Amino acid sequence: MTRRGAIKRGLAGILAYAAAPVVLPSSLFGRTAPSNRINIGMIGNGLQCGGHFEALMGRDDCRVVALCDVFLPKAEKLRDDAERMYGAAQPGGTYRGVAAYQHHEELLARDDIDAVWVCTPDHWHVPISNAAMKSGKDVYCEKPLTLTVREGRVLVGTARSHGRILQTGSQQRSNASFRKAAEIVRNGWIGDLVRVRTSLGEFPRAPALGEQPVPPGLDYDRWLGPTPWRPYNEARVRGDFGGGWRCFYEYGERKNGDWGAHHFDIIQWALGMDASGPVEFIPKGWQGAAYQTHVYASGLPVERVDEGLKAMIEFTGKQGKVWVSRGDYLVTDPPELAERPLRADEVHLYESSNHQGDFLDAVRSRQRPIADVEIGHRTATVCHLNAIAERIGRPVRWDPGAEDVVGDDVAARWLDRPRRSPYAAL
Amino acid sequence: MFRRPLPGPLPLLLCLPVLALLAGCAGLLRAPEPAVMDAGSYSALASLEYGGSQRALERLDRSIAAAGKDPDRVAGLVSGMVQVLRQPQATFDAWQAICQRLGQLLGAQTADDATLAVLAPMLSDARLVNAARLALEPVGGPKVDALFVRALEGASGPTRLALLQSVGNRRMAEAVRVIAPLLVDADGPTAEAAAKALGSIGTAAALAALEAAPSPSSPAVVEARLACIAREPVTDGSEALRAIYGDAGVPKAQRAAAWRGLLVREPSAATQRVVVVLEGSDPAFKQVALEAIASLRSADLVQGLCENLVAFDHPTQAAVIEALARKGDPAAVATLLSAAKSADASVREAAIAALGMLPGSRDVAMSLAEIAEKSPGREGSLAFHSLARLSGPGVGAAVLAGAAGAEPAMRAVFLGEIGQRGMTEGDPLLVAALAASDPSVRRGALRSLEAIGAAGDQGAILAWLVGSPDRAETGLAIRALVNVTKRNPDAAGRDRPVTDALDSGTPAVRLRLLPVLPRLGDGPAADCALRLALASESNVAATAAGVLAQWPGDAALSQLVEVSERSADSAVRSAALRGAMRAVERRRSIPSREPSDLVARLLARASDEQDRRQLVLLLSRGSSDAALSLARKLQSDPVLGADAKDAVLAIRANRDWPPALTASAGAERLADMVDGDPQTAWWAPASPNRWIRVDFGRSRPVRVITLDQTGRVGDFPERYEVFVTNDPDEPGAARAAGAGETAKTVIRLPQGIRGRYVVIRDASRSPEGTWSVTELQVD
Repeated sequence: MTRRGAIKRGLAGILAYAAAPVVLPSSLFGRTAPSNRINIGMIGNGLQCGGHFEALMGRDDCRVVALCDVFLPKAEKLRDDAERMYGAAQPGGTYRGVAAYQHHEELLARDDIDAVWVCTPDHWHVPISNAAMKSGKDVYCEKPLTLTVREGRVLVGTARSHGRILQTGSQQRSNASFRKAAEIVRNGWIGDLVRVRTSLGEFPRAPALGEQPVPPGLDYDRWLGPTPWRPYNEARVRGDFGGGWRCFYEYGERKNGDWGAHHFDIIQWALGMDASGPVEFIPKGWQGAAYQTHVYASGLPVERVDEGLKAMIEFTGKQGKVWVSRGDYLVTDPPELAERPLRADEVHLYESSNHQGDFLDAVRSRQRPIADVEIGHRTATVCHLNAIAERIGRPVRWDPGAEDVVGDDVAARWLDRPRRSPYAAL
Repeated sequence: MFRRPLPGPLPLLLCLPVLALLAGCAGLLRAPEPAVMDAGSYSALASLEYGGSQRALERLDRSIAAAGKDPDRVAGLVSGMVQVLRQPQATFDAWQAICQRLGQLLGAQTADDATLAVLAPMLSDARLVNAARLALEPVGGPKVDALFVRALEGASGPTRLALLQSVGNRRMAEAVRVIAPLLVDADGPTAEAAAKALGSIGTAAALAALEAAPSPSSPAVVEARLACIAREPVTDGSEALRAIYGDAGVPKAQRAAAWRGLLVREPSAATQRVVVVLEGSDPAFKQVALEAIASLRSADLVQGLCENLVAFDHPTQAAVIEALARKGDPAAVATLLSAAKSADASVREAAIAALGMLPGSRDVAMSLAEIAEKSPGREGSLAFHSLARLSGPGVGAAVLAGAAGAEPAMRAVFLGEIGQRGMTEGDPLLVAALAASDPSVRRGALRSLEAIGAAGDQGAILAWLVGSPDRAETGLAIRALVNVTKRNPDAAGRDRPVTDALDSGTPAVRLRLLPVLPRLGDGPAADCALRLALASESNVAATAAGVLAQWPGDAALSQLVEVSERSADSAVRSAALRGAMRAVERRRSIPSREPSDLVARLLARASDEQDRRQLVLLLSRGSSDAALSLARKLQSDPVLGADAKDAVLAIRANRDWPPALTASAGAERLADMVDGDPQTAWWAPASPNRWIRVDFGRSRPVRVITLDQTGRVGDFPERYEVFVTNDPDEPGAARAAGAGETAKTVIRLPQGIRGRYVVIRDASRSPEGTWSVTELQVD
């Protein structure tokens, strides 16, 4: 675990005790492991996997037993790291027993694995998560949960029909400041909402990329998976929070999917819209619109303001304001709202102080985690529809009950994408 | 990282309006590209290559967006794209790009025979079939269905796999007759794809074909059977599910899924099924049963689980209790009250936590309070927090009644609950409880006063604090006093009762109340501390000076300087001097407020060499004539000369050009890093090689860099590197490297380092989360 990770976990632990979460049994599952540990496989071992890997290495209630990456050397490197770290706790100083795979099917075929972490680029989230749940495994899947709107409903169906647990990696829900901000809004402490603003930033344009030799050890066709074929180029597959594959619409929704999956998620939570969503998505520039905006049925606009906000999310009500960001930043107007205790009859939101721990708790208790699959799907839907409106250059009207576009066949087509054979997701 | 800086630096604050103006004018300076496809554009599109110019494709996309829902314009674009597909020289890249866009646009009008005639052959071409699917798979209608069926009938190998995927996605019932024979294909992937397609189609005929397959228990076929059953209109789903559930040859996860399907399809039998499984020991089924409790709507489910709870093993009991809590059904309350007395600790804890999530009553409130009072450790804490969120008839009244008159231990619990539950109506009970003889009662009241006490409680708390015989409670009382004082909207006058008590108090009272002042943190409080630091009682004066030195930010700086000059006590003067220096150091932003006057006054008082050198370093933050003059004057000082020369160079740089900031991300938040406001910060998603750069306009000494992330704990680089250079494209070796620190990272460089640019780079191997800087200071 990194020191900053340890610091955050430490604080989270203190908060968790203070918040008194529900008690969970520890011995129901982890069915084949000693001490009821949950055996974990991690799929996609690049940039995003690193933080999860270190966090899981520091836990006693689970054991990473398999790594998997289409670029096999990455999986092998992480396997070596895992064996070295586990070995340090062994009397003999060595440990063997972590496997490395190139293809997720091999990992999912193992009966001794209870749960998988899916840390791939977005276009592989659903195919792998779906297959994992069908094979009897629970899933922690990175955000945004899906590549298309339609995938999300399928994933919810699989989770429910197979009785599996899925945690979406929108970990801001497990931060006390974001929860408090959502509770302030949900309980009307700043009055009726007038406007919400959030900042997502922007990626550079997707570059035109020529073909390069595929490096040894990379199954590039697998990396592309269900997306349209493109020539290999290192800049296409690179994991980079500031670019790389995140620049391309083929593999995600750019910033709407990247940071939108976090901030739109908190906004959905604060508005009590976890099983619903906005009704209209207006792209920036449409009839002079200064900001990309989505609008809820109440008329409440959520504006994407990438410059000048003093926090990642700003809620404006008729009687006050809330600003909230990562780093435990919570400021309110009036100031005392940030510290005001909830009354017993007010809305208390789900409390989690550690997103990974909440998932592992849910694996044991079999109750839905804080960012359940339905929540992840609904938030990803907001991301997708904003991106669709941006792509087609006009507003998209949405029926969140029927989960369908209203009156625009072209926009409706974007709710799903054909998948390159043989990588069928659904 | 250094070769591709952002388009231009942000000259500190001053350039923001200029940049905004330029941004606003950008549209006037460059005409937008036309959104009309002409012959040349289509010709360029035909030769599209992924590594080449994308202008033709970008123009096409603009044209599509501009066409909107206009059917004529859309038809024109479709026609143009189809014409490109007809060109023999069209590249694969062009085919694929066009097919992607046709997939969005083709409809009943535009998917005419001529268009389909171009696309249909692609369905039988192994190289182009996936491109053709991009165009055709989203297009509904029997004509396109027929194309897929015809192509599938003649396909083999990867082409057939691709077509199977499409007919499944299109749910083409008429394709079942073509697909079913493929279930026995010798090629495994083909047989699996056929099963999957049948599952997606989901008709009774598809299910029948799957059930008749030679290996109906294989995972792929069972998954397809489950998919069929989940779709309407399969009439006898229950029977089909029972067949899967009862087949020992089917993988356990799939049998469990079939079993879960039966719970939904046969709700009248669901409770019994769930109870039987929970009494058993098969984890695969138990997991699914527990997960199902939240969504099952069977009327007798909660009753059935409650009646059978003790028959389950303890871990299962605890899990069921949590499921019942999530369900929120009040019918579970009585069972959970019993479970809260279980012999097993995990069951007790689960029940105590669950009670707070269910509709409450006076009896539940009393039970939880009793547990909170009598049970040490986790169970007591859980009960306290459960009671804090318990809601229902009589609960609030029970809390207030208990806070007013219960025996002391229980009264302390209820008084504490008033704050936890945000019950401001209980405020008078809290104030009254300050007079209680039992310390636990007073402590409960003080905790709640801290949480919810009103501004009007200030006098009572202050009086209690002044007269308190119990030093152990002083900390609680101070926190309560500070909070209620700050809740008073009269910012100008709210401190007065506290400062009056200090001014008129005995030395003992003064010592007790002094820690309140820095927590109030405003001017009247600092002036009060100044008066006491100059008071005759030495212990009071020393404590007051210490309090001023701990003041947040630099708000007490002038008071500290005054104490360093006026105190009769040398120890107090020395403490104030050092406190003042630390306050100057804490000053935020580059450049900070002009320090020359303060530094000159402190230098006149400082005798320690290290103190004096530090003061010269602080002087280098200035830019005024006075600062430059003082630094020049000190150059002749035999001890301070070298530092003063550095200060002269730094002050000159400050005077020549305001420092300019750039960063590899978060450019719009750069000003937040130097605005002196601890509530705002520059931040960006952590990323390898993320950097921040300061341009001083001319070479200057760099001694200390402070990255302050106050309020954003943990948002520091795991590893950093610092470069000081005159050429940001060739920065040379790092001048410093190390690990970031929580709250504040102070990077000290050797004397003699000079350069125009300072670059701080995130050198972490796997950065995560966010890098934030509340304030950046370079000395």
